[in-house]
Amino acid sequence: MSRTLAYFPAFLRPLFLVSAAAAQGGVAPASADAALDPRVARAKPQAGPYFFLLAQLGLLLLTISVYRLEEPVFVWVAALIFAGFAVHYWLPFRFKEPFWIALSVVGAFAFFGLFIASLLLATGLVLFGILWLPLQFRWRLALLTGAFAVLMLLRAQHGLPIPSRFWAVFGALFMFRIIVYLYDQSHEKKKPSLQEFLSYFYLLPNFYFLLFPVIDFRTMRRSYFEKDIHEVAQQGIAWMARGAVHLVLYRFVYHLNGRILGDNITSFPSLLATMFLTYLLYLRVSGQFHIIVGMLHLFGYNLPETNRRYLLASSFTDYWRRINIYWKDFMVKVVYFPVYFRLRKGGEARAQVLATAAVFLVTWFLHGYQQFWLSGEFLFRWTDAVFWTALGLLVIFNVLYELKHRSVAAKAAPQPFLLRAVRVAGMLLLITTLWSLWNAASLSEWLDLVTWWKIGI
Amino acid sequence: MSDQTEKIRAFILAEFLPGESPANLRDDTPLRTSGILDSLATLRVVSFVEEQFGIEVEAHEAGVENFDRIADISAFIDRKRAAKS
Amino acid sequence: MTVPSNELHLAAYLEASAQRFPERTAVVSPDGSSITYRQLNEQADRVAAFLVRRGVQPGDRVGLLLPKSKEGVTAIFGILKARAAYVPADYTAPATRLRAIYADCQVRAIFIHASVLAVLAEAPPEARPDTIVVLGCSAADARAQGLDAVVDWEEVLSEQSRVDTSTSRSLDDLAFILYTSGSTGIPKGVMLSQRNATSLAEWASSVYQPSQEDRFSNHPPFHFDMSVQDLYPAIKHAAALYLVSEELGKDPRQLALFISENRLTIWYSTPSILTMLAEYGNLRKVSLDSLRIVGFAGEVFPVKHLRKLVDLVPHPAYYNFYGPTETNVCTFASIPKPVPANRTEPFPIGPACYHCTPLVLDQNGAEVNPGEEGLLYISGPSVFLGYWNRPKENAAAFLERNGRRWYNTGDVVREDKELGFIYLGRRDRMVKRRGFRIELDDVQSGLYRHKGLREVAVIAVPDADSGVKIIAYLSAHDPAKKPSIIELKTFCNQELPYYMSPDVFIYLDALPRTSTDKVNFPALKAAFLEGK
Repeated sequence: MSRTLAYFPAFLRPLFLVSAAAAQGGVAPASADAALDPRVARAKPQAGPYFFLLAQLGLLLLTISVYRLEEPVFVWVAALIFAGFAVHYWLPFRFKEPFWIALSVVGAFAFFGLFIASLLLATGLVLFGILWLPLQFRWRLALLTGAFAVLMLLRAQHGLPIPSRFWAVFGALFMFRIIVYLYDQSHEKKKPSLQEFLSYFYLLPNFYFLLFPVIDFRTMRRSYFEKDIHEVAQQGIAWMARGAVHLVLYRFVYHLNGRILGDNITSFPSLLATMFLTYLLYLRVSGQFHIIVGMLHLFGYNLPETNRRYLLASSFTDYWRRINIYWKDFMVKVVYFPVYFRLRKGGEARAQVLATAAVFLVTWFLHGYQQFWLSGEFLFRWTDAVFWTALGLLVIFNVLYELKHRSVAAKAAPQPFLLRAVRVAGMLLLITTLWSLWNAASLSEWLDLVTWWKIGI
Repeated sequence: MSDQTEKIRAFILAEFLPGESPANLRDDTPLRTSGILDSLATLRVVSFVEEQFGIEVEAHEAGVENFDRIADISAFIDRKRAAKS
Repeated sequence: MTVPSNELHLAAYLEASAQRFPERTAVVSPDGSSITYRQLNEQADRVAAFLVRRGVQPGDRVGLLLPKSKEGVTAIFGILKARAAYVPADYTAPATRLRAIYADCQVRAIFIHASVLAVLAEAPPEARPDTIVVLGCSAADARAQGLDAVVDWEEVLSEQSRVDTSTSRSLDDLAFILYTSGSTGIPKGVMLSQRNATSLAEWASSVYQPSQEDRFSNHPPFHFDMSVQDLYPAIKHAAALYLVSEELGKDPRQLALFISENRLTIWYSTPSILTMLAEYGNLRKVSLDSLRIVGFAGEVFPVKHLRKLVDLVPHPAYYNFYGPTETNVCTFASIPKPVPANRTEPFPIGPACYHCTPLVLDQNGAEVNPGEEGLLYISGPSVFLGYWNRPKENAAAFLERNGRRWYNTGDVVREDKELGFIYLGRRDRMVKRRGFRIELDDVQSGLYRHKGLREVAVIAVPDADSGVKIIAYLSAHDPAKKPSIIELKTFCNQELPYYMSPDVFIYLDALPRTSTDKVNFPALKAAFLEGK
């Protein structure tokens, strides 16, 4: 009991002790293989802390509903997740993840209706089926790519009577995580596990939040019950609370300034409006991401979080850095490291330059790719092409110029946003980059600024 | 084995933690997840480990699973060496 | 309470108070002895007459190398009455530095304490001032040390002649020269006139609203410009001035008792003394309820220490004063009580004082838009006359614009419509690293949030690889439990933007300080470049 006590913030401990004393009669179901798997011990339930966590979740739910933090349906999403937690907590360890998957599936049906939910499940299972085939990985990859290409074609042509809502959700669930998953599977000797596949792709919060952090597969597996559930759940609640604060602020600022439609950036006043809009969007996205990751914590996933204390105080570029941590990890793992490691025999500087260029290219492409899934059209606007090409060339030039220095970098990845948000963000990035170039004292200083992940988490 | 961890510890202390007392850098101190090593610093550790211990690290092995704590790095080196022989 | 303009002169302040309140205590020495206004005025007259008889002309400089004492204050007023300027210095400073200072401004006379006679004794006779007055021993003893032309304090006080300079006094007269420890080590003499000092005293009076019942502390040494704000407002209003000796000033327990027993009403010092008082002054047992005003200046006051002080001593009004020696205080801000619990940013320095006109310019000399940051320039009666014998520095320090002369404070500020000026750092306290502009003081504020750290000083040094390296010098509350570098790095990654995280952390027992109690940043920089 005292160990659990340590997981609660100091000022709440007295409260906890009282509730624990009151709930002493609780029963904790025993687990069979407690001796073998340390995670089982970490999942051990206790009545007192349980009610305490539930109480906090209740407060959170109240806050979401009273402040109308998201769409009205979100209250139901949160309620479903919190109720799910209430049950999940007491289940024997080996039933926990299946329950979570089942909960997500139920959520999908509730959210999207019979047709779309079934289609989502079916498509996912087909993809998994391909992976399961007893073929060499490269053939499975080829088949999967083919399948994906077919899907993309269907999406583009609006083929078959498939509602576009399906495509948006399917994209939200699969478009980036499939890349991570396949990358990890390519180095995996074992057969892919269906349970892991389902729990990675069919994430309940993702059904509501189409804009979602690119959670890393290995990290998610490794983080599962990595620490005692009370510590993880408490942290999740803390992050959800923080996310709620961001959303409250967003709502407040938004109403304070009326609606801002930043569709066509053609003049400086609208540039300022766009910058402001981006700040708002940032608050909203940050709030949503905190809530998402916090929700997953409740089910045992001790996922990492971005640093937040300086979020609202530091510079604009730092905001992007904070949002981008999952994206940055994604790029480093899937693009930068592979290219660098492949090329480093030919000279370290050259490898870094080309790896940097690769990150730029891939980010540009994925930017459009995401737009495609969400809206059906590939974002190949000339402004984007010019921007990324120019940026890429500048960075490569800088890297070559700095050959004597050790470190080299890749570009700042713009956070993909939903539809209009994506468009606005893309345009905004173009403009603020040019603006910061205009304002920077020197080219090298600006390049330093833009190649943000030279250092840092 | 402990000679291996000591070499790794000495390298990390010298390169990234000047002035820190060795006792504070334990085998289980998280380095990547706490931000003391970023992704570029990791590449330097990878180079060091390859040179010192004669193994070859691949891109997908350079992640947090193998390069977060000294214990992880050491275990990774052992596995690679065992696989080679 | 204003003084008629023909009486606007530091000596006139004393004379007016001596006339109105002759029997009130003027100055209390550290040893407890005191002197009334009548006595102070009469003795100062004798000192002035002595100096004039010995050939001290108006505008001449007279050195002052004494520990805190009522005799020192007497000497000061005697010098002012003779229309000369006093040049105080730190009597514990190295002899070579002191000799350099006095040679630089060519003092005609000097008041020196017996314990540091060696400063003069070691100099060749032609390099010594014409008139040497020794305090703390007899002239005979001084002669025994090798100084011939020496007079002792008793002899000065028995001076029979009289002078009256009251009709020839002018606000343009040089009042005193304060030597500042420049960052390159060669001290510069800041020349301050009667106008500078009286405009400050008038302004300070408007803030303090002193009366003859007040009891001022004087903690800063006389060679520190802060002492001007203690000394002259007190004398002007016939209040009592309690001198704090150097030893007492470093002992927080005794200091608290000193404030309490003497029922001091106005306190002014650097933040580090107040921090020590809050931490070690045993303020839960010793009540400082006599204080009605607490002012601080000289460096940034870390908010967590200020908060603790305000919690322990809640009743006085707290003021943050800002201003370089060259203008003395030019902005000030009132501190809200209680200090908000989650505040970590230092408080603003506030709007300009009424006698100072501010101007904020960018690095090209153009006025910035309201709210933008830039260098702070000050114009008005508070701006000093210039550096003694330094034409190049003078040309660099002043700016002519709109028919006025402006002094470049070298500090970067931003003006807020309501809060006044916000101090962003010295020009040299800002560095660019990896494309970001870093205020080293921001890094300090961030590190101060760590509960295990007592003092933090952050410097930047050039580095071949990364351009700039940021070094944090620290002292811990408990050396046995000081945070490890790993812990600090992790803390910084959470608390600060990644680009502001220091590269190197070094622990010291205590941070080195200058004689004016500020952190000695040049010393830290030099120590690091030499390799610790």
